[in-house]
Amino acid sequence: MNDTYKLRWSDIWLLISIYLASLKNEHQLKNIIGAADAINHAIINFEEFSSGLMRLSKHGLINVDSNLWHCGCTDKAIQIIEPIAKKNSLSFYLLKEVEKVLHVEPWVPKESLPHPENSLLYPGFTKEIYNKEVSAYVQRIHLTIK
Amino acid sequence: MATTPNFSSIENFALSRSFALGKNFSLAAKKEISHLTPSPILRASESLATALLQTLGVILLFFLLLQPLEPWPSRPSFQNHAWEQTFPSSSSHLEKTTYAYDAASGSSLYCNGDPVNGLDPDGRCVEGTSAGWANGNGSFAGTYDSLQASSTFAYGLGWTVGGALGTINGMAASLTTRPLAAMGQGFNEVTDFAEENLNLAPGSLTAATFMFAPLAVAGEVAKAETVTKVAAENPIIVVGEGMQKVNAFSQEMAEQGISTRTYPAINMNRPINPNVYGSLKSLNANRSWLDYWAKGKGADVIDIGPQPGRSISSPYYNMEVQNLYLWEQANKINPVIRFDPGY
Repeated sequence: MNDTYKLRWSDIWLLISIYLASLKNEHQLKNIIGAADAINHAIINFEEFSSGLMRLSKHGLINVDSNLWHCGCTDKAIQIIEPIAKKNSLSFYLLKEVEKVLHVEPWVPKESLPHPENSLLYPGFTKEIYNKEVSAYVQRIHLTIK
Repeated sequence: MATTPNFSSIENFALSRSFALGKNFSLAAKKEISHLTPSPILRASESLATALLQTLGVILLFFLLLQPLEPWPSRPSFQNHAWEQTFPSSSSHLEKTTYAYDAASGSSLYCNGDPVNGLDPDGRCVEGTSAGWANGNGSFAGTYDSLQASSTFAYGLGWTVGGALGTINGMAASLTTRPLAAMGQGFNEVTDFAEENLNLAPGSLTAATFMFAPLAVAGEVAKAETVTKVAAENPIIVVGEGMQKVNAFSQEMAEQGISTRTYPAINMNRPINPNVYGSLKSLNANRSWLDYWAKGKGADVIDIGPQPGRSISSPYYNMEVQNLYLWEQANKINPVIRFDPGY
């Protein structure tokens, strides 16, 4: 695997979000975005999402259904994540531990956002799709609060 | 909120400092040797040494009088120049700050003209007309206003409140009270004392304010381990957009010896009682955590703000911000410290 597909911390953030959402049989992007927000208190941006889908797929950690835009973890990913998840129920702990297992460089203060390494485009995944899914998640939150 | 400062304790502080300067030590030493009787040989050698010193003194005075009289050199090298000082900032890198020396005030204002009893260890306290020095009795000298308190020169003011106070640019009088805290004074006494003498609004200083000082002047004056004694009276929680950022800030505080708490984001989708992210239950878990610490435990809250570069704000973080704002307005929690760590 060349450096283009070297995993970044935001990829692990996306991977854990996909894993946690899938525990409730939720595979839609809006639910994954919600899980990502709950873990990291931030909305994963388009660049992080698109590049994350690309790199995680290349590493065989996720499966993406480009028709329905559903995502799920592969057995390989579950074998890595589940033993750690059983040890500790904290999502952020899970994220940091999986980072270590996969030898991913952690986030560093003042790093660029969007990061230049998050410039990969997943085939068919556009900003329109991303914006629509984010809006769906935010609307659900607002309805929930009301 | 503002009460009469505990001057008896301030005097104790002054005594402790004079002890450190060796004043009390010399007294104690005299007491210990006063009952000893010196031998005749020792007395003779003492007389001889005294006579020699006196003779040398007379010779030196004779040669000095032969020289033409010149004014004693002033300190021109310090005047009309920018004085640069480098110290660690709240982040891990070094930051250069420039302090302008007020030539108009002159060096005679050093410790308000009382350098014997005054204290200004690094000279920055000369900023302003009378700010920033503490006399040997630990009491105040000079007057202070809110402008000075909120200026970048609050460092100087720091020394006035019993020494070792720090600052951080843009924050109003971020203080630490190392000696006072070390003496075991209560947090309220310390803050009341500082607020009253810096003309700050009662209640404007909180434990969390104090902890910025070691970041600003780390390794220079304030020591995190002593500040912790003050801060430890209230737990401290950190919120912000991006838990990576929040935890990085919390880690920086930990490196300064200050313990903080961050939202642990419990995995809601456990096999038992799974839940949807973004649901009321999930948000309530976050809100309950905030409620428990900020309202229930009286924790000081530090909000380090949104993450630069994220165009869509996080609903979870927004929920925290909104609740904190409402609780703050209703005086249900301590004033929130809003601080930008620069990342």
